[in-house]
Amino acid sequence: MTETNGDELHASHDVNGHEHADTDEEVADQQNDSNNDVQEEILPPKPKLQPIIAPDMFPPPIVICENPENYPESYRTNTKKEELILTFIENFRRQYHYIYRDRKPLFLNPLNECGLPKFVCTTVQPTLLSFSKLFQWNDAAEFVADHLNYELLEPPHELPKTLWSPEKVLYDHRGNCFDYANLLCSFLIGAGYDAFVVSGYATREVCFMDTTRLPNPYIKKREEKHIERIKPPHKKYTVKPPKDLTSKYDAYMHQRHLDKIQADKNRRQEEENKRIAEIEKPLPDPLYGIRVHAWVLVLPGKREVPEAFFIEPTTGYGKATNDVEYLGIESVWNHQNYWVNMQDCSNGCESLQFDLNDQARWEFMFTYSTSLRGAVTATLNTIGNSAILDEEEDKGTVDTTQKDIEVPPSWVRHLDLTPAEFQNRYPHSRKTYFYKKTRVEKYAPYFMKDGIVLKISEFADYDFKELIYVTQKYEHRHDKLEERGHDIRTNTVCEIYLPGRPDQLKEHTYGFGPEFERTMIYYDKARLDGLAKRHETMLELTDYFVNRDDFLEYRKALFEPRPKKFGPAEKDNQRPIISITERYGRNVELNANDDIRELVFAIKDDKFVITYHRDDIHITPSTRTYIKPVNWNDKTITIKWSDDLLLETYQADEDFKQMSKRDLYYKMLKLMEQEEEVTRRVQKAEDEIRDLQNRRQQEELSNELEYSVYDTERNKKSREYRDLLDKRDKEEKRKREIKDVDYLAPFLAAIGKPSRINAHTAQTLRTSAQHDFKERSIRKANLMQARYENEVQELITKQQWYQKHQIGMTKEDELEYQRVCQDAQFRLHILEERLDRHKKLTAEKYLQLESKLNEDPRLKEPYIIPEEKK
Amino acid sequence: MARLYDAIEPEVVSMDMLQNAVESLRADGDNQVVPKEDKLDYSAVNSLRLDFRSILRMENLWLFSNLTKLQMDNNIIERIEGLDTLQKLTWLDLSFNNITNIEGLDTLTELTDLSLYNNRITNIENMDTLKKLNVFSIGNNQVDDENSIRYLRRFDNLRTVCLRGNPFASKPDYYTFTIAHLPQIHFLDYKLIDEAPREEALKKYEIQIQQLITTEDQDREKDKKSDDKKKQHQLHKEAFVENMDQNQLFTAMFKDDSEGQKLLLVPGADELVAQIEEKFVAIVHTMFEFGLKEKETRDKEIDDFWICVNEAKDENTRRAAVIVDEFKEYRTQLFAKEDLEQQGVSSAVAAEYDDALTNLRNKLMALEIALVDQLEETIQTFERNLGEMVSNFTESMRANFGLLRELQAFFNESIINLCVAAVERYMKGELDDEFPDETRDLFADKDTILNACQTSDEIHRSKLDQREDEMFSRISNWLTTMVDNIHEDEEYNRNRKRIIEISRLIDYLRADIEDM
Repeated sequence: MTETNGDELHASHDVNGHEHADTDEEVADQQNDSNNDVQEEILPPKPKLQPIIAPDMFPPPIVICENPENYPESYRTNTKKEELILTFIENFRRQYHYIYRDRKPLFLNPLNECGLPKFVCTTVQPTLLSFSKLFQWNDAAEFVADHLNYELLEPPHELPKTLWSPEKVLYDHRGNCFDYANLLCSFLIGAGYDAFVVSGYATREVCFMDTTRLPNPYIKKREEKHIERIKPPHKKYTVKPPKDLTSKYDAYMHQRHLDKIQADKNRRQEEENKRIAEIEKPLPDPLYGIRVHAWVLVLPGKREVPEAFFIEPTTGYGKATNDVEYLGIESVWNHQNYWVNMQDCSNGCESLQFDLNDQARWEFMFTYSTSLRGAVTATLNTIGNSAILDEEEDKGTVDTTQKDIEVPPSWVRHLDLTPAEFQNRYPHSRKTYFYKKTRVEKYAPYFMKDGIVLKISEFADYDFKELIYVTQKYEHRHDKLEERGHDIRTNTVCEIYLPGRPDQLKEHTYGFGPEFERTMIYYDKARLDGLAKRHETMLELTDYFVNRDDFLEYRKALFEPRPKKFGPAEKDNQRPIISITERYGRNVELNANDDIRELVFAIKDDKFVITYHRDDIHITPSTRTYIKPVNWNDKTITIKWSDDLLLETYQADEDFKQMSKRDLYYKMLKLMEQEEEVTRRVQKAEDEIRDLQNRRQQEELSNELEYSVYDTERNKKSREYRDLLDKRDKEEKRKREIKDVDYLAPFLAAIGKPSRINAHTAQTLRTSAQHDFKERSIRKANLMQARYENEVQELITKQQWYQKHQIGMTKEDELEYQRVCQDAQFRLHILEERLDRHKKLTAEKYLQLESKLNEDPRLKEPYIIPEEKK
Repeated sequence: MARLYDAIEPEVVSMDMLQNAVESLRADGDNQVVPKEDKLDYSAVNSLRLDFRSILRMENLWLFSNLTKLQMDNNIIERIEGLDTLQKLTWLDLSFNNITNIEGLDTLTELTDLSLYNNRITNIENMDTLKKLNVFSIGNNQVDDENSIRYLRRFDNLRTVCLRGNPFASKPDYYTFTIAHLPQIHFLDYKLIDEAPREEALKKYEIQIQQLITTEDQDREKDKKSDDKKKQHQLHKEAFVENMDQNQLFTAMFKDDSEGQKLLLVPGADELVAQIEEKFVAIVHTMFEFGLKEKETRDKEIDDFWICVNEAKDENTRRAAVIVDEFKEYRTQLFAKEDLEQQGVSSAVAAEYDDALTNLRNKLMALEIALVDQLEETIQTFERNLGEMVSNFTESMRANFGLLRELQAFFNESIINLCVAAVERYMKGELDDEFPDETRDLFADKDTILNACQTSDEIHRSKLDQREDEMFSRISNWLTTMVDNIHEDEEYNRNRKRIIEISRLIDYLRADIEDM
């Protein structure tokens, strides 16, 4: 008997040496116990001999299954093996209970959806779904958390009576913590993780899936660019720093003052933190420590997991094994074995060891699994961490240990999800979470009309009343909007776009109200003018550029404040410009002193101020200021040079070239032209901003979604195209089928396509087909032979001609002759090979034909010739 | 349309002519929007047109040091001359003149366009230095020679050539020959060359061109080798160990030593010389290696020094620039505030500004003085270190020269012994037929031979002394020059420049309030 293995194994604990006959009665007792005195932690020892109760006499069903016929066979009945296992676990439970009287009952064989007891290990159905998104543990956990609606255990300090199949859980979109853990474990084992369902105890917050005390997981990660200045190594001739003449005492006093302020600040911060912690501290829990919960344990080894950790299936978060939220573990199991925790959990899970092979700490149920685990770790040590290798190894080891009792294959059908179901993800395509001061709403893509997939609302208080910040994420939007953040307090909006907009907008920050300020960041590489950023306020407009050929870095326009007007604002009005400043980078091809750094068009003051770049050896840049001539606007007058026009010049070095008056004059004319140009550009920039506003409004209104061409479910055009392709494929296939040659067809046609033939005709058909094949082969061979001979003949003639004319030949003719000969030889060689091949193949083909004829049903009894297939 | 010069009175390139030419090139022409400047700045002129003027001689052009474009077509020039100083010239037009030879273009390395159209040139030559030549027009000349065409192969950047109107261009093969031999050109006689005819032409002249290429490659190889050699020699010279990598010094000792050479004919001298030479060369070679190594160390030291000095200077300049920028910001704010209230600057503001200026000046000066101190110290350290290196080098070399002298003494002794023995044997008449006649009287008696030995020894010694002196004087010269230059440039010139800049700045800024 297979059971003895288990018994022998546990003989050391089995003080009384039970007989097998006792098993069944114990089962009933146990069940009665768990029903009647649930809260009793120490169960009284049962008398040994009780009337025998038939195994199928279970207490009234807890599960009412309305339509058991809808479930497959394995859901409704237990196989023999399963029965055996159930008996075996009853034995185990009884012994366990006997030895550890003060331990709570184990979660071993709950009822499934058809009201049948099933062993928990067989409820785990390792599955790898065809979505790459479920391959990583965090993605899978998040999916499970998103996919299901959580149901609380009732009562919360007691193990559930039922455990539904992961299939039903997946389909129904709901489940308790055991269902969650079971489903997630199925996915994780399927993905190659060494995962286990854990049954134990946790805090009220975890059991209630109360995340309102957790920080918002969607907090934006602020990018901090930490530029480390590498201090150059001290070289031999590094100059000594100049003497430091500042008072050390002063510095010390100052530092002390600063320290004091800092300490003050720290103290206040600490107090504040304490106050917040006080507010956030949960109320005391009367059931602390006995609330039953289930979660997932992942052990290191497979899939490059470095150390053991927990996954909370209800939220999808990974947790450390010493997390204070988890208060104790009763047992863990996977699809192969069941382990009972023998360690002290009075201190939570902090000091637990997760080496399941350690028999002092973990009591296992099946032997073979121990050796298996040993084998796996051994291979891990030698071969490495590849999950695939491990799985292969698993199979091999299982085969060798077949003789032990083993967990029967899972009774659960293979889990399956359609892509549409996977994409819908949430129950009814949407789900709402609450975190500390944060509400998160998630939507399936394409579910909402405006393409929103995620909405995070941050609040100032714990009661979700005062809204501070709203972040909305979108997908598949036509205007490429990816994210919109709305700061309620400052009333500003920041929108982030994906690449691909016609105006190459990347980020757009703007506010509402009269004191408007807006910033636009562009994908500068996609823009011809290299515009990277545009910043506008009431009185300023600045364009920042990068990578321009003329080294322009930014252009900044200052506007006059607009006189306040009442009534409808005239939008088209250009604001009067005070000045425009252009800043240029260094053009290394020019002298620093000829390379303009800053060009100020002081339009209101009729001035131009030029600042040149500073040389490496100088400390001051050269500057030059022009004054516009009085009549500059009058095109009819030729402007004459006068010394007043150049207001002042400063050159850093007297050796620098002085500009002649002529050059200065032309420079000024050019500057005036340039001024017109930049004014135009500034106006254009303003127009662009207004344009953008209008366009954005229109885009917001239209809110169309985009469908990828690969998304045949949604994209109509793609679907039509795909259908067309499918249709064409089918047609092709049909045509090909027709094309398959029927070697008997011509002969059948010759005798008038009869529907039946007799043996004699069959024989004739057969011989004529064979004959025909022979004929054709010979004809083909002859043809090739003839060509070959022809070719040889030609070559010989050519050679003879050459012999004759060889003496009087030019070099070119000779070359030509050689070429011809080579060609001929090449052709001969090919012909020869083909002939050879033909000879070889003919015999083979003949044999093939013969065997085909032999097997042809038409040439056999009863000689029926089917109608030609269409 | 070359004209005979005797028909026209030749003109001279005069100051007036140049002045006119410069003025006439300006766009505004007669419309005097800008007052005429009294003095012509020749170096500011970029292009000059002196065409249709019957100029006979190209002269007085040396003033235009920045000229890039010179047009002197349609004159009666006979010789290309006077262009040596116009090194920035890129565009030269000498068409329609009476030039017979291409010459005088050697310094115009930047030249890209050269027109010699309609002259009397028979040979294309003397243009080796015009590496950047791009357009070359030599139409309507007397070129009648394949070598002239081949000459053009050396210009890698040449794209356009005009050759028509030459006797050579009327030959039937002219076109194919030219496009085959000048694969780099795209336009011949201002027409684009198509691919097809070019391939055909290349095929036709394949063998000749192949030969040409081979010779050209060989030449190039040779040039490269001699270049390398020159560089190598230069390197050795900078390490002060030139001509010491082989046995040059040893051979030099015997070169001017006629008596010594005779002495070597003594029996047994061959072996001795070979032996000594081996030792001698070994010592010289160690000296050579040591010299190169020392140079490397010195170079590294100098690099180190300059990196540090430049870093210090840059840092200092940057800080000063920040101070100046800050001040300018302050100044703008100060005056902007003032302007709003009234025209002109109030005395209070003027006083504040004046104070701030003084403060600025003090700050900048303090920075400069700090830098001067820092640099002075660093330069002194450097000087000391380098001086040590040089003396180390000298010591070691001197020791090696001592070894060489000892070797020479040993050699001399040995040769005297050999000679004495030889004389004795000669006296005995054993060696009669082994000596050539002129040597024979040397061995007539002992004194003569001893004298000869002594002379030879002296010559050898003086050679060694000479080499030693040269080496030491050169290295000490090198050191002094460099250190002096550093003192001059870094300490004195730089400081003066900076001080001037500061005072210029202060003066310029002070003008703001002084005007008021």
